[in-house]
Amino acid sequence: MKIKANPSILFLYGLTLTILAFTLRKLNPLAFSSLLNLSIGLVLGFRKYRFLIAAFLLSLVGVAVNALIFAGGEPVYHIGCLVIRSGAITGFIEVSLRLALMFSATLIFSSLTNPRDLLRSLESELGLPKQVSFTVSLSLRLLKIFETDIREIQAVRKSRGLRTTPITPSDWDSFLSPLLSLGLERGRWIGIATELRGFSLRKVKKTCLKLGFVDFLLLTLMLIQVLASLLF
Amino acid sequence: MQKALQVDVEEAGYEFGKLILRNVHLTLEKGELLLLLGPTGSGKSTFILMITGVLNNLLYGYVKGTVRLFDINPLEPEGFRQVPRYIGVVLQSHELQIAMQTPLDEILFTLENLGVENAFEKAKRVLDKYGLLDKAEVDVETLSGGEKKRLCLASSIVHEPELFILDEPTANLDPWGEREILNYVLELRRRGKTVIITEHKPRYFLKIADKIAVIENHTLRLGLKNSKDFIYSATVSLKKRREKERREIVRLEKVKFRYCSECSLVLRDTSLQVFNGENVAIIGPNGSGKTTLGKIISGLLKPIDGEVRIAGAVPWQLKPRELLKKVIYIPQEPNYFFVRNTVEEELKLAAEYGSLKLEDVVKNLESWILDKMNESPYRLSYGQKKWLTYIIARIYGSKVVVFDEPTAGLDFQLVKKFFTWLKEEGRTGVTSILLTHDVRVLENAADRVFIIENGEVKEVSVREGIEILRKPVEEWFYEN
Repeated sequence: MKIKANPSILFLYGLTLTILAFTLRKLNPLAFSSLLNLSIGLVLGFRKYRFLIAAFLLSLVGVAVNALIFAGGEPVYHIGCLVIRSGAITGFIEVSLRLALMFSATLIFSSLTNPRDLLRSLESELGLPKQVSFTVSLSLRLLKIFETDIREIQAVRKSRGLRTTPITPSDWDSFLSPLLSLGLERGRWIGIATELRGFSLRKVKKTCLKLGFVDFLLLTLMLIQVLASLLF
Repeated sequence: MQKALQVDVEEAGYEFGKLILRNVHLTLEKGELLLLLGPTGSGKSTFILMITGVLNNLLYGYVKGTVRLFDINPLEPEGFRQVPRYIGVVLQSHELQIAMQTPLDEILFTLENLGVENAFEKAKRVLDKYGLLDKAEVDVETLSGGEKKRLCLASSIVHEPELFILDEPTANLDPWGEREILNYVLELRRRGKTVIITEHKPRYFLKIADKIAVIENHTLRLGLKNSKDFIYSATVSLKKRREKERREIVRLEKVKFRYCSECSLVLRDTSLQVFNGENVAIIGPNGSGKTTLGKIISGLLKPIDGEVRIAGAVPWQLKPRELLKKVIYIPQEPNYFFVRNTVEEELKLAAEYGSLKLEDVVKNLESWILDKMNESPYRLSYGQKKWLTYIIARIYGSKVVVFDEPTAGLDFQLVKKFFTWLKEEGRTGVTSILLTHDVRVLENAADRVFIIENGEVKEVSVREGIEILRKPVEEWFYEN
């Protein structure tokens, strides 16, 4: 059975999670929200967005390296010449949980809607400007294309005798350049094509929010997490 | 007769001081078909962006002069807003213009923008007409290149505009797809619609074009219908097979491949043998598995069963640099290929890894590349990017070069140069595997031809290959 939610509610839910990820100071409500949403996100999007999950895990490696180098505090462990300080552990956990919360918002959001429904809902039900609504909806489509781009870039890097997974800053530069360039080119041409297909003539009719069971569930979850963040 | 388009432009470009077009004067009557030709990077796409008002209204470019599109002025902001009601455009990089996730949504997007009533029924009808109804709700990324092209065409004509602009409509399409495009264009003509087509393979449209124009040296010239410089002759002699010492360089034995355990087989029991210095064309419909086969030969994909040997080695057991000495893969989309920020750095990197010295390479480069050495490779035109990938591949000096759609986006001069280049490389023992739909590749460069269909690969003679690729379009010419 395909689960679908009202895109506007999903948008609000995703926005709330992102705000919580940036504003929560205490570890307990942050851990609660992150683990809850990560579980939901993985159940919904594991099959469809494996590359996103891989990218998230890769970013955790970066977080760990960053924490090891820059964090202070008392030394807790010694592994060979490596000293792990208390700040590194708490820093890693905190930043990972914040990232996990934003990442799970993306997974839940992209798994439960499609670009056209999102566009219509954001502009008609939430009353967002059509340009903003279109940009948000387009990002959903670009997620899939992004995956294809990464695969192709990796293939060509292998063919040109370069590392397929970037490690050094130079690798990252040469990996991200085609990705950004393609993104810019795609954005440019989609923008031109959209204008030539009458986007500026698009008229928006305001409609009321229509909510179903999944939407009420999301709203309840949202409320619980906001309350948890305020109470604990 | 009502004028569909009237252009009187002294100068146009993306920024002042760097003009792309000058002295462009053109009148197109309603119902006429204009075939627009010109070398890679000459300004054909800029012309389209200019007449639709995109150049000055969206891209911050400038246009000195006047453009009249039916009864509106697309250069003015208010006129530009009305342009979509009059035109339907399929851009050159059609894959880059799809905004929605399913074909149905893509068609509905146009209709909803323009406030067309009964949009859903209309969208379904159009999808049916373009053979996409059974794929109405699938992810567009699962469509083949030909299907995506049809989708772009359908979404640009669904609102019944008066003028259609098709920027290289047959690029990357198999002959069956080309035939479909020809049919659609002919139908538009019969319905009295005005059409502008830019093409590097003009022979397809010569028969039905009313006007032919060429953009060269920034200027548009009209009335060159019989010019041999720009119209490619189909009467090219079949090349003689070169005598050479045959040494096996590529061997595939009973190779099976699929992308996931639940997916169906893309290749089944595929066997082929290629010798050094050969130019081997692999043909087949869009989505038949040519790119997959090319990637297996290049060591980028590992089959689930069977044996693959490139110059005696198992490709996926080699380290990247060892693999590069044996084989290099050049993708259809050149943007994927670049890994440095300037053209010069790209060439330097290749020279560092490769067999040729940078100075020797630079001596033989075209002037346009020398002019752009300090520019980002991503800023080149599509054809120029493709050509740069070939130069880089040559510097690497791999024994086998796998080209995916090598002639798509290249103008006549570069295509000719590419064929000469293939012959020269063949003489030095370099093997080229050409994954292609382009009959010109078979006519001018291929020593052997393999056809891939329903996951199976078989060898056919070059003559048979040419007939297979020509048949759909020739039948079309005969029927029409």
